[in-house]
Amino acid sequence: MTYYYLIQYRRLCRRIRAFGLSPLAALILVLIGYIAIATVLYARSAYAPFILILLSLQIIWSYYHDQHLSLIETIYDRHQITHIRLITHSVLMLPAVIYTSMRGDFIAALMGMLIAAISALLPIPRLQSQKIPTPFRPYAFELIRGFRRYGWLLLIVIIVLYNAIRVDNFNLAAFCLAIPFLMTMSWYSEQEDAQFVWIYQLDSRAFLIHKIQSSLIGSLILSLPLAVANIYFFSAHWWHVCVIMLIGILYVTVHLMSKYAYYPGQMPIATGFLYGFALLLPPLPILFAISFYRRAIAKLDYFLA
Amino acid sequence: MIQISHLSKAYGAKQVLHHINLTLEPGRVYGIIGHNGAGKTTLFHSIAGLLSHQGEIHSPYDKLKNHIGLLHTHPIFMSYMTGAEYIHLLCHARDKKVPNLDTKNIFELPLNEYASTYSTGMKKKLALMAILLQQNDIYILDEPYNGVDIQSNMLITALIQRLRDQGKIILISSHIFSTLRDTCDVLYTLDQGHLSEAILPQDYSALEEKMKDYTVGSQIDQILGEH
Repeated sequence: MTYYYLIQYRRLCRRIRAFGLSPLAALILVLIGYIAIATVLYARSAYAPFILILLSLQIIWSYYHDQHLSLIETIYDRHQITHIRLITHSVLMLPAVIYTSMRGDFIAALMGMLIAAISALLPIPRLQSQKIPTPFRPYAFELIRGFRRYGWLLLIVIIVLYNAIRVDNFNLAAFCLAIPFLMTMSWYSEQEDAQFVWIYQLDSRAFLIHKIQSSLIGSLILSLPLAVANIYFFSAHWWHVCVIMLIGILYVTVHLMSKYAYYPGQMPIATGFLYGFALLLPPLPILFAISFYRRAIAKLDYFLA
Repeated sequence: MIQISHLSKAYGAKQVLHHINLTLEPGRVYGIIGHNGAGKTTLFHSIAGLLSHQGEIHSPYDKLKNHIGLLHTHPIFMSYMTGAEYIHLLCHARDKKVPNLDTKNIFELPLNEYASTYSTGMKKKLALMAILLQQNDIYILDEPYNGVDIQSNMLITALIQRLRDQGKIILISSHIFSTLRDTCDVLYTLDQGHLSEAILPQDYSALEEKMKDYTVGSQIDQILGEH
């Protein structure tokens, strides 16, 4: 079993190095990033400990999409697999447990550990072969896949929005409105295999526009109902809602350009930091748009010209 | 007609393809035979435009890649995407109207189920069905018989023959010699990146014997020892 964990450690280190970082630097960056996000969450929301636990659960859920699970099922027995799952769930839940404990939220920390342990004892989640319907066109695979994997998060957003309306908290409602745009951005972040770009008979410019259009339609389908609810219940803030929608559209557009600007590789760390910083200060990402657009066209030309 | 001249490809210092010259004519089926790692897939991907390479490829098309249906050895399917959605994606990418899939589903695939849950053979059949519905002029089929059942094997052979009758260009690789004998007008062997002279049907038996002698005569002895 020790060898299994050693292999996992090596795989992780290789992935990080392939990204252009040393594992130690990545660990430090992740720690800083996590603490920053958790601190902001605690400052902004009473539900912060639960959001952190949900975030860990989300990472645990994504672990089940890794194909190496089918391999371990063929080489280890049931007892060993349970052992692997318990350790993995606990490690992935640990940041939330440590941070919430440091904040004195021991009940949330205990809940996190219990959920991690109990979920490791449940049967391994399998990909069901029956499809989950989506509101998107069949060729918009990023939206379809994202919705089927993470669409359930929208239910949580709706519940939070309902509570925001109930307690008359526009800030929280506005936060909910931003989520569909962030979700769409994350769904489009995953890089598709080159053959799924190559198959298009569009030229690079038309391809990029097609992708931006699809992503905007997707994010608008998901966000418009929330925007309508926001305007209806917080009518005095109608222009805030419009600004959030516009910023959402801008972010999704620039994000699509950034994705293909380095396709099929990854954005360099330094650019990533600058871009990440710009995302915090709208409408600064516009500054990146022209450079990303030009790079994206050049990169896509390799497959489409 | 597609004219490939001096196509070479290297991965760093490793030269995978050496000055490949090949002429592909409509209504003909071309077979490529080679060991694993001989460069077949690299050749196919270079022709398709998925890989950069040296040398020239001339065709009557403005963009050759938009007329090629490429069947990968191991077709890639994304999770949470149904077979029908995969076909829609490929047809949409080529601006082709998606026909009624119920009537076109010759392999009787469960198109409303996620393609990533299909068996190896089913994945191959789905990928083949999708490129057929794209109505391409050139088909590059990398191991089309890999993992499919006997009935589908026969169906694929019949499909290739029909495509040839329709004047399409078909380039195919297979590790099953009989399938190449049944479908190909010309065979080439690819050995360490070098393409052989054209081998015509009357010489197929001699080629098969030669391959058998080499494999059975030397390589089995290497691992199991001599009698």
